Formats: sequence, C-alpha cells, structure tokens
Amino acid sequence: MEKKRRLHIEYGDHGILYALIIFWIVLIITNENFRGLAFFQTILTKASLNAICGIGMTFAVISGAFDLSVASQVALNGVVLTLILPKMGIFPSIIVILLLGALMGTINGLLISKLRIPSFIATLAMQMAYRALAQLINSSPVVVDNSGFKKIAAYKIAGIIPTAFLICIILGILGTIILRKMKLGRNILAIGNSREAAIISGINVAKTEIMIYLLIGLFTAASSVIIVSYLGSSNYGMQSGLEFTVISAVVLGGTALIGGKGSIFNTIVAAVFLISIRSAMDSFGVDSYWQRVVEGVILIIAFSITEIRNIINTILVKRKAKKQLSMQKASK
Amino acid sequence: MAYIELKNITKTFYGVKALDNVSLSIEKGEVHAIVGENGAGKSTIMKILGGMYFADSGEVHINGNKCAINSVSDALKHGVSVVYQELNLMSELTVAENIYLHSLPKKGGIAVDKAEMNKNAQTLLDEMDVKFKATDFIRMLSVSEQQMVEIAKALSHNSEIIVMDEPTAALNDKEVETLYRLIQKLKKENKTVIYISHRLKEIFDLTDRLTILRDGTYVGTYVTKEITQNKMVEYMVGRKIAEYYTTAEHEPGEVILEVKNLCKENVYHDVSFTLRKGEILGMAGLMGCFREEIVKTIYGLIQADSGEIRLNGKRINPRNPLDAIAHGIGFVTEDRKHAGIFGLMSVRENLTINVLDRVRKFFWIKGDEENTLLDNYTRKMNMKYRGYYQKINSLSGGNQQKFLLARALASNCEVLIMLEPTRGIDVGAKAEIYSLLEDLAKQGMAIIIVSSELPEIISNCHRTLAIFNGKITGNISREEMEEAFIMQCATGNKIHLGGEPT
Amino acid sequence: MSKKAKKFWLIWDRIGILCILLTVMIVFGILDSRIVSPAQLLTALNRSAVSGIAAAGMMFAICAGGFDLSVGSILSLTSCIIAMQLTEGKSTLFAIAMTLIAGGVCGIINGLLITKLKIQTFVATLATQLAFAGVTLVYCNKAIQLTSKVNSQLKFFSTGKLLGILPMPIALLILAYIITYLVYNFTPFGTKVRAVGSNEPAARTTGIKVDVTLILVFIVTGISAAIAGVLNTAQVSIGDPSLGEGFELDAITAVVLGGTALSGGKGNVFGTLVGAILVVFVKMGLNILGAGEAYQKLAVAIVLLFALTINGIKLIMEKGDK
Repeated sequence: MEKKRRLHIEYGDHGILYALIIFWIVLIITNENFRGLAFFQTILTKASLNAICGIGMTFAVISGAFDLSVASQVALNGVVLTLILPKMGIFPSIIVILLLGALMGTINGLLISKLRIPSFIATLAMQMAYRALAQLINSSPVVVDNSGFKKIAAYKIAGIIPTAFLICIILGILGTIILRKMKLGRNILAIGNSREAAIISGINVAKTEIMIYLLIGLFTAASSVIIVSYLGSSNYGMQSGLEFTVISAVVLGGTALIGGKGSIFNTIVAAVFLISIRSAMDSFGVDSYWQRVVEGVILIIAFSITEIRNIINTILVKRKAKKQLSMQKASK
Repeated sequence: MAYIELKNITKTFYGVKALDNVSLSIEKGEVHAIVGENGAGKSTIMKILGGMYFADSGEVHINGNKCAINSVSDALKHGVSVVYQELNLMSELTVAENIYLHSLPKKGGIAVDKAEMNKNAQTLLDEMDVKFKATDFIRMLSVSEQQMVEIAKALSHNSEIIVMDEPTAALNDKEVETLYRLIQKLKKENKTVIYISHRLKEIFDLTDRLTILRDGTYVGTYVTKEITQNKMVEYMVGRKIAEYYTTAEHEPGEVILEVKNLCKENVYHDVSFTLRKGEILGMAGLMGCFREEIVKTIYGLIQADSGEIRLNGKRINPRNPLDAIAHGIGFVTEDRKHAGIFGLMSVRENLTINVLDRVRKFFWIKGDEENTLLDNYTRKMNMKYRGYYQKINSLSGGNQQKFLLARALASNCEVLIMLEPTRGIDVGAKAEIYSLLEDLAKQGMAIIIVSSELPEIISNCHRTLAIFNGKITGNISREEMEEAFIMQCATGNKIHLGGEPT
Repeated sequence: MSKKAKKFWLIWDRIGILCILLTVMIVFGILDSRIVSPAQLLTALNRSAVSGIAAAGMMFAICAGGFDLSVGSILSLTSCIIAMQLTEGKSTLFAIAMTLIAGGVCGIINGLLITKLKIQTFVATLATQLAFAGVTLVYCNKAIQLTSKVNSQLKFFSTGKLLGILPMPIALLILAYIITYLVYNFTPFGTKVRAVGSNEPAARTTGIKVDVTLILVFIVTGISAAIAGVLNTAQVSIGDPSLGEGFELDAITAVVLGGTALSGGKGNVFGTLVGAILVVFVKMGLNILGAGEAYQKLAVAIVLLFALTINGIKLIMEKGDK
C-alpha cells in the first residue's frame, strides 16, 4: 500500500492550467496585441475581480448549489461603499462592507437552509431584492475621490505584480485552507457528495449550509471592494451578469455541478482563462454582442463537459468494437 | 425448445460479474420460480428479460424466435411485463393514470378518455379486492397498496409472460391471498409466470418448477414437488448451513439500552425492549414493517410522538444524529451508495468525518493524526485499499462497508445499529464482518442488526425481535430461533413475546 | 400534520392565492381608492396579459420538474423580430409567424441541451438566457419605435375589442388559460408532463419518451414567450432588446404564487393566472402610490419570497409526517 506524502494543496487534474498556458502561447505568437507586461497585468487584475467572488462560489457549487445573487450583492456593496468611504476612510469602510456581505450571505443561507427554498430560486429572488435596495440607496452613479483607495486595484508591487492579483492569491490560499484543512470545508464536501450521508454522519447540515452562503457573502464583499477600486465608481446597475462569469469560472475549473469535489486554484485559473478569451476576442475585433453569445456557448460547454466526454467515449468504444469485429472476421 | 430460453447471459457491473453465462428455460403456462440469495443475480436476469438492463452477451428466445429486447417497450411487444421490487409510480397522478400511462385511451384523437381509463382501471382493481379506488392519487396510498398498483399495472398489459420480483415483500396477509388468487387465474389463462422470491413457503405453495442461481451462476432447475427445503437452501448457499456462520456464544452483561412504549402515529406502536452490553439483537420483519423507523428513532433521525429511550438508565431521546453520537450510539446505513459513503472523497476523509474534533488543533486538521487513525482501523478490520487518498467509490462493496463500520466505531459508541450489514457484499467480506461483530460484542458493545437475511440473524444474534406493522410480535431467544418461526411472527401469524425478558 | 392542518392546506391550494389578491386589493384600496377603480382594474388585467401568457408556458416547465430562465431573452428577441419585420414592410401575419417560429426554435434549443447534453434545466436555460440575449443584440442593437402606420394591424391585439366588448389582451389571456387548462388536464401530453415531473426515472421505465416530452415542454414555453413578446410590442409599440431583463422572475413568481409545486407534477392553472394578475397589480398599485421602479422590484421579490416561504412551511409540515 502506497503512503503518499504529498503537499496536497489541490486534488484533481490541472487540465485547465495547461489549457490556459497553451492558449496564451498560441495568442502571443499570433497576435501582437497579446504581448507585453502591461497587457498581462491587466488580464490578471481583471480576472482577480471575478476570481475572488469565484472562491466563495466554489464552496456553493461543491455543495451542489448556486448563489445567483452575487452580482446584486456587489452592486449593493458598491453603492454603500461609495457612500461611506468619504465619511469613514478606507479601512473602516472595508470592514463595514465585509459585514454587509456577511449579512446578505446569512439571509441567503437562512432562506435556503431553514425555509428549504431551493438555492437557485431563493438567490434569484434575492438578486432582484438586493439590486432594488441598491437602486433605492442611490440611483445615480458615484465617482470615487479617494486616490488611496483607487490604488488598491491599480498598484503594482515592485512594478510587476498587481495587488489585486496578490490579494486574489492570498484569499485563494485562505479559501483552500478552509476547504481542505478545516472541519467546515470537509462538511461542505460531504454535503456535496451525499446530503443524506452527511445527516446520518452527524454533520449539522443546516448550520453548514448557512456558512456556505456566509462565505460567499464575505468573498463577494471582498471582490466588491476591489471592483469599486478598479472601476473608480459605483452604480446600482453595475456588474450585471457577474454570476454567469463567476459560475463559468467555477465549472470550467473542473468543479462539477453535481457537487462533491472542487478546486479553488482551478477556479482562479479558469477565471484568468475566461478573461483571456475576452481580451482575445476584443483584440480580434469581435463585436461585444457576439461575445455574449460566445460566453453563453462556453457556459453550455462547461456545463455539459461530462456528457460530452461520455458521448466521445461511447463513439470511441463503438469504433474499437467495430474494428475488433472486422479483424476477427478477416482472420477467419 | 422451451417457450422462454435465456442463453449464455452475462452481465457485468463496474467489473463485477452479476451474471456469468447463465442459461435457463421456462415452459409455457407454468409458474416458475427463480431462487437465490441476495446478489445471486435473480433481479438482474429478470431486468434483462424486461428490457431494463442490456446484457453484455447472450440471447433471449421467446416462442422459438430470437428477441432483441433493448427497452421496456420492446419487452412489452414480446409479451413480457414485469412487476419490479422498486416502485415506479408517480405520486401526483391517479392510480388509473399510473396504470395506463404508456397507453392512455384517447377520445376524439387528442383528449384523454378519462371515463374509459378509470373504468378499465377499476375493473382491474375490483378483481384484486382492494380498498382504494382508481381515481385516488398515489401519494394517498400506503406502500403495500402501491405495490398492488404495480401488480395491476403489469396485469393491464395482458401479457403472455408476467415476471414478479418479490411481489409480496410489502404485502399483508390478505393481499398475499389476493396475489395467490391472481396467479391461479393467470395459470388458468395459460399465461407464464416467473416468480422471484425469498419466501420459501410461497415458492412451495405456488410454483411448478424452480431455478436456483448462486453468485451469478446457474445451479440447477428442479421440480418444486421433488425438492426439499433443506436441499434448496443448501444449493442456494453452496455449503451446509452449519459451517457457514459464526455463533454468538458468550453471555451478555447488564442492560444498557431501554426502549419504552415508543409510539409514532401510523408508523410504530408501543415498542418496548431492552438491550444488554455484549448482546447482539436481531430485528426481523418484512418490507414495510417499520423496523428501520424504530432504530432510526433511537439514532435521532426520526422523532417519536411519545415514549422513552434510556441509555445507561438516563433518558436521552436523541433529537438528531449528532445528539445520538454524543451519547454513544453508532449507526451504519443499508444504502451504502447514496446515504453512506462520500463517494468522491478519500478513504481517509470518509473515516474521520465525524471525529474531526479529535484530529484537529485549533482549526487545522492534522493529516498525520488522520493517517494514524486510518492505520489503526485498517489493521483491526483488514481493509484493502491502495492509498490514504484513494477515492472511496473505487473500493469494493465489502471494503466500503468496513469503512462505514469504522466510521461509527471511531466515535466510540457503546451501542451499534447496523441496517442490512452485509447487503451486496462478497462472501469473504461477509465472514470478516460477522467475526468483527462477534469481537465487538465480546468486548461489551451492544449491537442491533436489522436484516432481511434470516440466516444472518439466526447465526449471529443472541435474540431476535420480530416486527410486524410497527409492533413487536416476537421476542425470540437463541434456542427458539428458526427461520419459519421467525417468519410466522414477522407476518403477524403468531405472537411470541416469551424468550428473554423484554 | 393534524387533520385540521391538512384541511387548511387543501383549501389553501385552491383559493389561497385568491385570498391574497383580495387582501392586497383591499389594502391598496384603503391607501388610495383610485387603485381599485374599475378603469384601473381593467388596465391591470390588460397589462397582466403579457406576463400571464408567458407564465402559462412556464407552468408547464415547472410541472415537468424544470425551469426556463431564458423566457426574458426570448421575449426581447421576439419583440425585436416583430418590430424589425414590420418596419421592413413585411405583413403582420408574416411577422407574427416569424416570431412564433423563433420562439419554437429557442425552445427546441433549450430542449436539446437538456435532453441530449444532459444539462440541468435550470443551468441550461441560464446559459441560453445569455446566448439568446446576445443574439438579440446582434440582430437589433437598439430599441425600435413603431410608427402608427406600420403598427396599425398589430395594434388590434392591444386596443381592439373582441365582439366589441372584451379587450383583446384580456381575451387572449383567457384563451391562453383555457387552452392551458384543457391541455394540462385532458391530453396525454399533459398527463405525461405531470408524470415526468412527478418521477422522471419511473416515467422512463414505463416506456414514456421522456426526452420528447421535455423538448415539447420547452417549445411550449418558447412559443408562450414569443406570443407574450408580440403582445407586448402591440401594447407599447416598441421593440426593445433589453425588454425582457428580469421578466423570467415575474413569470416564475406568478407560477409559484399560484401554488404549482416546484418539485414538479402538480400544477395549478387558475392559481398561475391569479398569480400573474397579482404581480402586475402590486406593481401598478405601488406606481400609483408614487413608489418608483426600485420599490416595485423589491415588492415582487418579497412577494416571491413570501410564496416560497409558505411552500417551505408546508414542506416542513409534510416532512414531519414521514
């Protein structure tokens, strides 16, 4: 019996990482816009905005659920942030936003776990509610004045590493620790594998489910801060459609929709991959409306990847069987 | 050639041969039984005949013609309809709609002729002497009534060949009588009936010939009148019964668990019994007798309406599994695949899932301590796997069951409840688990085994409770334990509350 | 559950939503009597035709055990198609036919993704929501105002009156629900939809072509959304690619309010109709009271959550029985 002592940060394949590297190499060779440090810094920064939210979403998908309200949470966080930033300063404001995110997450969690409302419907409803609240708080866009705050997303450490990306990596490590090395993470994985088995094992499923949405609230709040810093403004309609990008990143990264396994590292890589695709489309001059269609198609491929693999497998097996049969006939 | 010929049927599931080159033949108009232990392949071969499964190789011939049966509709076309063990009913539809779903009578080409459908369904039901109506919704029916609907469904096709897989598992006495009548009627109409059952009494009552399968292979076909019960069981099991199992010989200690007057409306009524340290208690009963519900109440998965559960003299009445585990009650489920293992997680994670508090410091789970725990149990229980990180769903059924048992043991339980402890497990692992249970009992653990395999109960338990319709109808001591007798109590025919003190 | 509780839920299933509607009407009436004036009520009914018709299609989807989140995008798409076609001078009949075909095609795409690629309905229609919206924008990237000349025939569906008394939108709404009621309760298709929604694996075992049924269900949803799109354009004389944003939520709210079980198999036709009217009525009432768009959206979200909570409580009580 082997006793492997690995640093087991992440299980599972890293196909998405190889895909990303190959994609980048191809583009660097073929497209002159796709070069230069600044270009990649932008990609990593933009990807981090989605990826941080994706860390939270990974937990949900592992447990077999989604949170469709993240875009509206960002909007509400953003509007509140630009409201309190001039009055409270950077750090207190960030704390408030994290608390607000935690509150929204807890509300989602209670609806889903205590009232047994299916996750997608509950978060669909809250999506509308949070967005409406954002609009009520401030229906006009606000520009951020605080240059220190804007630096959070713009600053590059040693001129090379974008802070946004660094924060993303740190939060990614935090998320991974929660998932692999903490009881909460194990419980989430267990629920994703089999809710019934989790109940029988004595896991407090209701509490864990609430924690999942709380985590999403926190990570989404963190990403809201960076998003507002990057954009330099807030607006109640902002980040509409973010949930698509984030869920795509989680699923493309290999976290299966049925739940039970997942990788935060892969989610981050997939987020970078998606932004790279967008930049590639931009630099090839693809119409922004067609880009939406492409993203929809990518989403469909990501969701059906297991079935596509099955279909390809079946075709290959059938071909092999046919070959064997004809070889048998030939040898007679 | 016989009327139905199954030739060289082989079927493999995930590398395990469920059927290995099985051939058997069935004559027209006979009632033919397929007999065997759990996992012998009875259901599998009938599912192939019925179009639910696709054989890897082999042929099906009906009435001299080779048949390609790739779906349920194909099977129906060839005259085969099957009453399966699992219910395939829609709870939001009516009885009539469920019966005629595949061929709804039409009026004017587009609308459903509800009157006709209900009438036809009611005619079928009238022959079956049931209490419910064709217009009732399935969700309002009890499990045994739903089973009757399944039988009606199969009869509605008017097929030449009717297969019944454990049809009486959920039925009460009166309903079993009705089934007997229906089968006699089918015989008169020269229909062929294939009957799968564990109930030796039914096989002797109803069938003309029987085929015995063992571990996926064909053993033999015999005329029912010409074979004895002992011989049949011997062929099913493959060796003399006596040498097959261990025996529980040591004396149990003091009382540890007391269940008093447990009641839950429409489920179980006035359930009272005691369990002693070191005792292995069996719970026998037919499908739908609610014995699982009784033990699930002890484990906190279900709440009773009234009654007491006392552990070591203290009243506990657990509110949820976490509570039960904290009090020292362990539980191993029967549905390994869906409610037992965390398939995509590693063997290590599956073991430690509810003792994480023991292997962590502040918040950090220590992999080394997990590994130590795993090594401990691997030695004790002889578990076979490749590495700590191997996903548990790639292990054999027997090994998975050992992990589930280890999981329960890891939280240091004093009372262990196991549902169908060796279902779907190969013979070698079965023996290992029995000997493990015996060791645990010798060390003072109190064990409750809920099992549908009477031989398993008879050879492992000090005492058996027979449950019928949520009531205890038998408290049978080791000396009195005998399959037929337990069955009598479990079917409500006899009530025997003597034996050890309850 | 006690006998009393069981009886309560039985009655609630039938008329609960109607009670809620009446309560809301009374509350609004007290706050501002204009809201419940006959003219206003008529306006509400007229307005609920669009979401009501789409909700009827959505009910089939939910009864079959799934969802169609793309109806909003289909609505935008079809409203643009009919606006563009009319502006280009095609006949009204042709334009309407085109939209219905478009709705059907969208439905087929949804159906194929769900049955052939085995993607969950919810997730598949989430993706097509995005894809269809993109296609709409490619086809028509800004709102199109229909001139009265071009719109003259289409206008009939909005301002015309059946037999001189019943406004066309209401007539269409009633017709749609009569058809839905008949199909759901009296056709093999309706029975199969309920069967699939109740227990899909068992339906397959019984030999029902589950895949075909599901594709048909999504075609129905797609065409209902298309009809809604046509009606909407008729009423507001504008084809707009951003029209359908959030529309699916209105449709789902109507269905859930109406008492259709989210788990599938149990639909409530009359309830869905009342639910659709309720949602429009709440929005309209708030509007008259001076509450802006944001409050209206918040109100709909709260109403949906309220309906889901009641569902949830019922489920918890039923579970206690097991």
